[in-house]
Amino acid sequence: MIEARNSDTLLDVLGLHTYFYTYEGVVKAVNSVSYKLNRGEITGLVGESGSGKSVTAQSIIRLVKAPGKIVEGEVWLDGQDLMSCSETEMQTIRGRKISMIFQEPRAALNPLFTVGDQISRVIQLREGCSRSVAETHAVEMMRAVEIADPDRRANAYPHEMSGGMCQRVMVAMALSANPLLLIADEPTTGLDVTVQAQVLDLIRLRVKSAGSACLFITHDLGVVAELCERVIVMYAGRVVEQGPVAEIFSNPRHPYTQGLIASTLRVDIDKPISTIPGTVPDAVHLPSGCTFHPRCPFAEELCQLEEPQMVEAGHGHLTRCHIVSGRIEREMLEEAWTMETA
Amino acid sequence: MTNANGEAFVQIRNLRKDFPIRVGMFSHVRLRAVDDISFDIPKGATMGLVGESGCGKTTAGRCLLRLIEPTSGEIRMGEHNLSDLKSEQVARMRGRMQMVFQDPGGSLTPRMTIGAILREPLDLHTNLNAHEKDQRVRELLTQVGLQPDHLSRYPHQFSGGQQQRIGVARAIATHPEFIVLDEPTSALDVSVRGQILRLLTRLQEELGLTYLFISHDLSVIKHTCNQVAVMYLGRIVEIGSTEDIFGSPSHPYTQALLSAVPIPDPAQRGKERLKLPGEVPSPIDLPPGCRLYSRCPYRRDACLEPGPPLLQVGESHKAACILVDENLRIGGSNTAALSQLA
Repeated sequence: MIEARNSDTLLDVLGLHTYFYTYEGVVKAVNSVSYKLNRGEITGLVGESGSGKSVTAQSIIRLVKAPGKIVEGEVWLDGQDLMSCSETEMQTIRGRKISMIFQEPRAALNPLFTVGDQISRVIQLREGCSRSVAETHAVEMMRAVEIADPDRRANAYPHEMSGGMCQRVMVAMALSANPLLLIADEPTTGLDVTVQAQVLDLIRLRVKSAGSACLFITHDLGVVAELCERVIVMYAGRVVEQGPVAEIFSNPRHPYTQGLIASTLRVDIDKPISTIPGTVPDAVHLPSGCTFHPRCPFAEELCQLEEPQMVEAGHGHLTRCHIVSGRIEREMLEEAWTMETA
Repeated sequence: MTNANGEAFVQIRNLRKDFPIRVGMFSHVRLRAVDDISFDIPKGATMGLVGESGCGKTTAGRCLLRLIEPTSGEIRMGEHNLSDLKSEQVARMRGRMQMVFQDPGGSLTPRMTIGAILREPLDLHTNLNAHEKDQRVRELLTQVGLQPDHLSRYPHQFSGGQQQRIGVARAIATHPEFIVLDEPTSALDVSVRGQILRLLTRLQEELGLTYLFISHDLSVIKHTCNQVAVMYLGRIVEIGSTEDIFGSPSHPYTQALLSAVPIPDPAQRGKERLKLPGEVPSPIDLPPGCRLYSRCPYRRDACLEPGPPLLQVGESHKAACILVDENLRIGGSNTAALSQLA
């Protein structure tokens, strides 16, 4: 990495490779992924289905399910090497130092216990306090995530609550341990926009007040623009671009990021419907060279032959493209995305 | 999409759908999923039906095609009064009105080849011979941008975007005049969504189709529809041209919905928003007044009286809010007046 390690860095992921060994072949779900997360910052991890964004998160907490395996790489959390921790040590790290919020709140909650019970269990585990103390604390946490009437709601079962309410419970549970790192995996996908706005406000407020770092996984660039300080863009298992949010949105350098921004429809402006041609590649048979080349309107022969390296494009902005690195001389025109391809 | 003026091709009058909900061994309560909605769609135009989960937009769409039986109301398509037809007569009409579903994988039979899936509507609604059907299937595949030699493949061999192309091909197989599109792009990745939207626009122009486009995604509605109806808890709260709804939203719910959509531009972060507290209440046994009362920042006692009806805001623009009426009389814009009241 180009930046020097600074004291604000909480999580440092270096050359992470996670592969899935399937009958069809090896799926390189996470392929040489490196990034840092800073304290008090929300970092958006963006990509389409199959880009490896969720597996990246699972790799950090070492919860990759078979046939997946972390093949290579280092993950440092606050100076501690997570890859060399024993499973027992990892168990104390999960939930105490790293918490996770999942996409489907109802599936992540246990249907057999009340939500108050589930939150207080987390608190009991961390504090080692008595059950009644933990229960009081749980109600406070529910109040903090703006659940109306928390005393009564603590006795409700997940099926008695709406999706938005369940997601608040998940946020309460994840943050009750005051984690150093919060990983949120598409926490608002499936929620209505008015409720999404409430949950995003809540996550922003809680992360900032606790000074934790947050890795926010999403496919929605709108959410990234509203919530995050930094962005990491993944495509087919690789990080193709990363940097500060304002920089990436105003000056995207990788053609995939450009296409993604161009094809995001907006309610505030009229523009022609843009699209990236083709489809996400088959994970077992990835294209040679740059994995984006079959869909890239600017691709040349070199892109098929050689994989581009990550290069610095100014302002803490890293990208992986032969055109940016100067190996290919070519202009990237915005009009390329509005061409008829359907 | 095609700008169409002129006479209504699809006419909906006072459509209502109640579902009985069992509450005890013998007693039921009524859930009014669609409550007295009326609108017209001119030939070749697209009407957008937008709202959050549970607002009744899908139920309304299915009632239109009589896939579920409406409780009361009138549905006209061209010269036919669909609400008067017997179910056998409706079945015969099915070739002229079709539907594209949200989940492209789930709406294609996994055990049938693409050829068989596309041949089925032809078997049911046309008198073509085997050779002609075969030709039509190949023609359909080309029309939606797939290869004709794909017809012996099974649905799982296609990506989500390609599956939705097949869903569209099936819908247009019998030369329909009217298609209900129920969240056709919600399950698709951003980069592929544009491809399907462009395909739908192109087919509408080529085949003169009339669409009802159901979606929760305002940005998709904005880019595909000529007219928009906003639904909340079974009622249309605002209806008008796309410019009316997005340019001067007049119902507090529409305003809140629009302001909750994240804008993919970090420079616009922190813009002022109209926030709705709480969540959509249960649709069972609703009070007679405005449905938004429990969440509306501008509510007054008068809102609890039955109604409010859709009031004229502009030439083709109506909103169901008593504040609209007051403000129109004083000649001010609703948005400005609403913020004054707040």
